[in-house]
Amino acid sequence: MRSLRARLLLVTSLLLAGALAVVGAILDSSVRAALDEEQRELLDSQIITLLAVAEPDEGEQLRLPYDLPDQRFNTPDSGFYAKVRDRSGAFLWRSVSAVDLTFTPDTPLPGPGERIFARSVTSTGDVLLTLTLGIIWTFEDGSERYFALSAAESERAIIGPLKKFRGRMFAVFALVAGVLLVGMGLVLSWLLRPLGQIAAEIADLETGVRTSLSDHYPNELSGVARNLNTLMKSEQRRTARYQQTLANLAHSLKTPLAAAKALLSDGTAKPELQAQMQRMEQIVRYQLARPAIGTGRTVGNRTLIEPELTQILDALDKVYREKGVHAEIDLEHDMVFPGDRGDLVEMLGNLLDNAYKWTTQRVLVVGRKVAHATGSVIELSIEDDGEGFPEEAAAAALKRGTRLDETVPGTGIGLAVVAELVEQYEGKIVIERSRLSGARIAITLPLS
Amino acid sequence: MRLLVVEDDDTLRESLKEQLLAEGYRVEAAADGEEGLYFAREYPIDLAIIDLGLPGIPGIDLIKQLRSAGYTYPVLILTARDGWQDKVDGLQAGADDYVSKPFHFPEVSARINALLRRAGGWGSAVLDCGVVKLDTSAQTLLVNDAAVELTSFEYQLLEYLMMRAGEVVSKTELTDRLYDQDYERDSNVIEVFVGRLRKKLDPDNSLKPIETLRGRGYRFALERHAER
Repeated sequence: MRSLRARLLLVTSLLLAGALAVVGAILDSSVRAALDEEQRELLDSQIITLLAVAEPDEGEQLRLPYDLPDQRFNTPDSGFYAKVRDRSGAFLWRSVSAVDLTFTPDTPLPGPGERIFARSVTSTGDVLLTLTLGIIWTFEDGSERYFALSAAESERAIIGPLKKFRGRMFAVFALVAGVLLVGMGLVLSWLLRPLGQIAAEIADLETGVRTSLSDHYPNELSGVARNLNTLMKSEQRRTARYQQTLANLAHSLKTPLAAAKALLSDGTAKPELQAQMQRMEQIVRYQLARPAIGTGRTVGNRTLIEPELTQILDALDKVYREKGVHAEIDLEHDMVFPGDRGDLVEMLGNLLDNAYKWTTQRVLVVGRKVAHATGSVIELSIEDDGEGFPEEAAAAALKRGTRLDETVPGTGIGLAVVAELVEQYEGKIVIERSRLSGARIAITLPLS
Repeated sequence: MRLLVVEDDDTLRESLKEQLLAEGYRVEAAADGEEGLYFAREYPIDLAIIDLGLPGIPGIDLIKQLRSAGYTYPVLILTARDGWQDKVDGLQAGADDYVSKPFHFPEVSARINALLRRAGGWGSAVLDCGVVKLDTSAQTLLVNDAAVELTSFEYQLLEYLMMRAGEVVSKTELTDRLYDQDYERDSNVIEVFVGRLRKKLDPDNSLKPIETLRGRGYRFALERHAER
């Protein structure tokens, strides 16, 4: 169960079902008791009626007319029954409706003046609610005898209303549960909306739409948002400081190196010293080059590509003015690079510088955002219409410090720098022959 | 040609200056931006070499100040930061090319040469005016495809005139660009050397490559050979 909403809804549904079941059971039994009570009163009045029509006979027994006022007693299987028993429990009289009924076991005999309300099952399987009253009848001669008068009605009479009640109860409960669950769902969405929002904002951080989380979260989340912001800021600051320190180190080493080289260039120094200088220079160049100190991918670091690209092309147009290079850009305006601006400028700068160096006239820059099943990537390719390069040179060009052609001025680590940056961004770099006849360098970088 | 070098590292500045002097340039070397600005105002400069990491006025700001003061000569950046952002920033501020430290002097020299040519409207290292061809990278002169030997000063003078082929170059400008400042301004050295150049380029006086415009200066009169 990964979803908080599903968890809450499941627990709520279970609790709700339990609560409604308990309430339903209580309501059902109270209604049943009330119906029983009502039935009992009804039967009581029947007994009173029976008593009113009872007459003693000569044999000192109670005699009731066969034809009772309530016609239901006179109709077999009507569900209404009456009987009179003596102290031994033997039938003295029974209503017409009860003639072919046997009661096993028969309802108990109450004491004089007492009433017993009980359920019993007839031979036909019908459940009867029976009220029995014990009386002492005083005959004219002054003798007294005990009789038990019973009136009974089939339970069917109250099953109907009970079923009706249950039906209504279920309907009402279902409605209540439905309304509660929908309400709960709405409340949940309302409660969970900030979570959705924070997720969306973090996604925006990744795509570079925003640089920090907003500050209008509920109290429970604002701490998280604030801490995330602080974390990101301190991370960015730390990286910047680190880069600055290394850049300063490189800078402060290079000027004395240049001076030392100039001093050594008169040829009077020992060759060993020259070699050591060469090593120092290489160490400074390679170890303190951009990839070694670059940021790589960090959350919330995005750079719009087009402005940087235009800026670099303007600069290169100036440097290679006499070549009259014609650069074409095929790029969406809102295309972003998933990282630090400095890294982007470094990659584009090196790649474009190479293209301008080797091109005859045309340089083509193509950028595409491509959605893959595994996530979006950006594809940037830079091609020129120069003479291209031999196949085996492609692999070598990606290694640090290799120069494709020693006669063209340049630091010789440009492509290697790009390759290393691409690796830091978990991307890919491909060197191939361009349709324009020169080289085509394509880099693919994952967006998230 | 008079170059301005602005570099704060003393050893590097002095060695650059020496090597540039050896190539025949006049050099004004400044240790910081303030001094660089002073030289820029005081001397006629043909090209500036500026280190980006200067104390006081940063290199970028110095370039911007030079450009806003109306100086249009080429600017070559020396940068110890080989990040592309610095290069782009420098070029946007008004520089024309860059060299990363530590550099080989021949690379700097080649860039300077190319920038100066470009400033004169030349696209290639060979200033080609038909019968007269001056190779600025090899510093050799061909007249009718035959090599002609030049002294250093003759070469500087011819290069300056040919760079601005078709334009009138005043005697004062030539004196400023080609003399060290302690030379006497009104000496007739320029006239003497123009005369010697004419003899070397045009012994039978048929070509008339260098015109004298009385009171205005000199002009290299041969047409530039169309490029490309």
